[in-house]
Amino acid sequence: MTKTKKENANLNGKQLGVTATQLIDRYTDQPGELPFALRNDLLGRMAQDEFIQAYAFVDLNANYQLGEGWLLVTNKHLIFAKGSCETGSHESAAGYRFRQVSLKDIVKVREIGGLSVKKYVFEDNEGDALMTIKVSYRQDRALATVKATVEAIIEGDEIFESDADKIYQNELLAGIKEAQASVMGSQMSVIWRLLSYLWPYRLQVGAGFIAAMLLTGVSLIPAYLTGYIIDSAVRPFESGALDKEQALNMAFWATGGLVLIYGLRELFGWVRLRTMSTMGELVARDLRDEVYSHLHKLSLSFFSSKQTGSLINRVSADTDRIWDFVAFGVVEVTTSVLMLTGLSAVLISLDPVLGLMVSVPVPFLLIAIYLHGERMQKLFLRAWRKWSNLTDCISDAIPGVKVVKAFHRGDEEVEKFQVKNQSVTGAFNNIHEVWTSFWPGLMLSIHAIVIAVWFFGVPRVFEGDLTAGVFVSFVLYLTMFTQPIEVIGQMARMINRATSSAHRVFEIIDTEPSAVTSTIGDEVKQLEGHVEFKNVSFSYDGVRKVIKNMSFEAKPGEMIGLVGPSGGGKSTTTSLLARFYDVNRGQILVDGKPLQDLDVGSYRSKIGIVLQDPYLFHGTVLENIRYARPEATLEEVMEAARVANAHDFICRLPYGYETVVGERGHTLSGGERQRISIARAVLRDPQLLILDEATSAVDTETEKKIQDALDRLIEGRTVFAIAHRLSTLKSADRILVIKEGEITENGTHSELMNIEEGIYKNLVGLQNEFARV
Amino acid sequence: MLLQIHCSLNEDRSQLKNRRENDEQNKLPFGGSGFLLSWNEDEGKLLFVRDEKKITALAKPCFPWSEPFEKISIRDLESNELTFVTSVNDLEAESKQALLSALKEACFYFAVVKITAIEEDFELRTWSVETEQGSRRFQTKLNAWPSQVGENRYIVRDVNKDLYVIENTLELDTKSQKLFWPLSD
Repeated sequence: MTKTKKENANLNGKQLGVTATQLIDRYTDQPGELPFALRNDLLGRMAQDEFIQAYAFVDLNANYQLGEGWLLVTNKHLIFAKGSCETGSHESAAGYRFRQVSLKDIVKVREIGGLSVKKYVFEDNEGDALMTIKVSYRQDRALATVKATVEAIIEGDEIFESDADKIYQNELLAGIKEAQASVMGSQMSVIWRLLSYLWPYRLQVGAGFIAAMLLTGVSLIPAYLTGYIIDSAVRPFESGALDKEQALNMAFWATGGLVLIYGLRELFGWVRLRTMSTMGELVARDLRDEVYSHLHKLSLSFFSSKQTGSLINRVSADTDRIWDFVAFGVVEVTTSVLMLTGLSAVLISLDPVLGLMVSVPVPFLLIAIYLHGERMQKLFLRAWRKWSNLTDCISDAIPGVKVVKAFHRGDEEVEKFQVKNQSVTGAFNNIHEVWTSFWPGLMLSIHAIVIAVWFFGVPRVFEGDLTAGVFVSFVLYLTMFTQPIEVIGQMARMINRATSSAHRVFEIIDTEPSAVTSTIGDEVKQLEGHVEFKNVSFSYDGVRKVIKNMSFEAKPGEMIGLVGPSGGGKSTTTSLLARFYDVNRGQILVDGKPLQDLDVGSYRSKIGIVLQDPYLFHGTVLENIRYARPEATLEEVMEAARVANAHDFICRLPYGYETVVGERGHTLSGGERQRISIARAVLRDPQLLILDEATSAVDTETEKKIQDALDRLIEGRTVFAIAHRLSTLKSADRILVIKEGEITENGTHSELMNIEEGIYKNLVGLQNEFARV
Repeated sequence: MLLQIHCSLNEDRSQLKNRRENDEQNKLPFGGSGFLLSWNEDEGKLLFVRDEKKITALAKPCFPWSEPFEKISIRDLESNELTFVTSVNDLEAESKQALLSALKEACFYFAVVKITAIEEDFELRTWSVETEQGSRRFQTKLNAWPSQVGENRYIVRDVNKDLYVIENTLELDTKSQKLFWPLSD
């Protein structure tokens, strides 16, 4: 724990998350780490064995103006360094003014919250403020870490080693990271990465691109051919230079050529569409497979930080959008660029003056489309905002329709809706007004080019400076300009949408699987159920300890009850036992072996967990029970259901064990679902069983049925049972009372009832009182 | 915010008189209880003094947006109500000053005077603003719209739950108004 100043400087100076610093710079207007000068200054002031444990930026001064200050906690002191921008005199060379309080003098840290300010008051034993700090909520997480560290140190707790810079950066970015599925990197790097998924299908991609280029080239021929026919057959025939037979012969060959060209064009079109769309599906499939399989390797903490809907969208909607981009977007944009370049080249080669007249306005048209897109985006944003108001109105009133009727407020609700509806209509009409004016305007510009071609071209045809065929070709080529201009104009939007989706998908793929999901370790073939916690400490965030130096032992076949106030650490204890997380300190031994040395998969297959709110998958009852052991026979499934007191109600279901339950299936009550989950656990036949408040969410009668089932289930197994209803723990061999991460009482029911003023005794008393009521 | 306090203190005297009369008719809860509020500047602490007993207190305005200086619950640090103040103007000078200082803290928010940019990032909207407290860059979710709390008054809540208030959108410069327009109600 003890580090020298040099080590501390190394820690703080080298293990910086460079990316995090860049992100802080990008999203906030405050330093991404403790300023170097201040750090050096502090190191000069601190004792040899003193080091910075945590720090936070203090963004508000005493007058509520934004400024710079730093609050740091070392293993000895709380230090406030006030920035140079608001102080008159400074004590340090770095321009900071210091105020230092010994941690020994701090007795209490008080938090007081305002609308947009949080005040931290560090008080002495008289209740007087030793230091008062005000920050905006942006800094609150980092300040809370400083507070937790101060409290841990003054309480004499052993604090974990921490990287102060990393903690500061993580806490500062937490709000942004929670709001954002992922922090966007460079758009080009995302596109390149996305395109790298095409590599396995490079032959198809090559074929698709060649087909697209040939399609573009071939599409340019008919207009040229039309001009050629006019100049080489029609006009010479009219002037008598060719006889009818010769002219017809030429026309026949030209028509044949057109047939061939159109045939080739559709062939290339078919190859392009077929190749790219199927290849796009393959890329999307690969992404979906990769994302979904990776999701199952991630730790529980990843899932707790992301919303389920967002994760589902990444596997479904986002990969679909990527398919759209890969299959069509990439090719559409490329062929449009090729088409415009080809058209301009052909026109300039046919007639440089008219060619330039047509080509020069094209960039301006593209700019106009881009600007129109930007304007439309603002209008859509406003319409989206109005639309959101309208949907809020519906989603508020419909679920609350009972209240609306009870208070006879239906007319007011309708009126409110009408106002918002009118507002939405106005916003959308505004959009229609703009786009319906823009596109005819754009077309008018294109028509103006056509008219200019006619205006300058026709006299030249009469003067013999331009052939009629070239002129007709020009006019035909002009009609081909519109579509590629439109596609290129929309390109930025298409790329934005695709890269956003790609980024959301890559975030999952890039998340490192945690150690607890790895399969490295000794395979567990059999479990006796001997569990020992040896000085176990655990913290979710590395600062606030949830389990503090916990030690206990459970012999095979023992039932251990875990009780105590909410948030005390009961569920964390069982989560550690299930190895959803790894301990920070100490060891958990299972059958004498450290849990971390065991293969997670084979270990978990030997334990059973019954949760408070069991989850049933969409499928039959049979499939749900068999989830624990897919190879179980029907007889084994029924036997498990009988043990779980579930057989009777399952037989009453319309299709017995083959009734579909879960989401979109037959609705089961909480007690019924619980008994199915117990049947699952019975079928698995675990030697180590965790019951996490398995009976807390049901009525008394159902509880009795579940309790009967549980009594049968726990026979001969090592059981850890968390229970709020203490009557369910009467058969426990031992009860551990866990409060604030520590075991405060340990013994049998009768032993704990003999502890005067004991927590357990108090809880039993309260529950008996409730029962009497 | 400061401007508002200033305005509130200088409000029309006749209005004040009427309100006092009304409050007297309503028999103010603290009328006969004889408490005093004082503000400790160094510690930023509001003290509630009654019968020579000092209790550290917090001021909790019941309607922080519509009536920040009226209907204020004075509570101890365990959030038990010590007394209820109908209006700061009903207090004697020292208590009034103390309560205003406490309210300045309790009702603190960033008062936006200029919007320099609103840019959309990946799933976020980044705002660059000038506030009465200084320049600030913050983020909101794309679907977190500003809430309207008056005719042209808006509150923007960022991803860290900090509040930014535009007192009157019409008083913003043209560029700020244009930037804000798509997000306004």
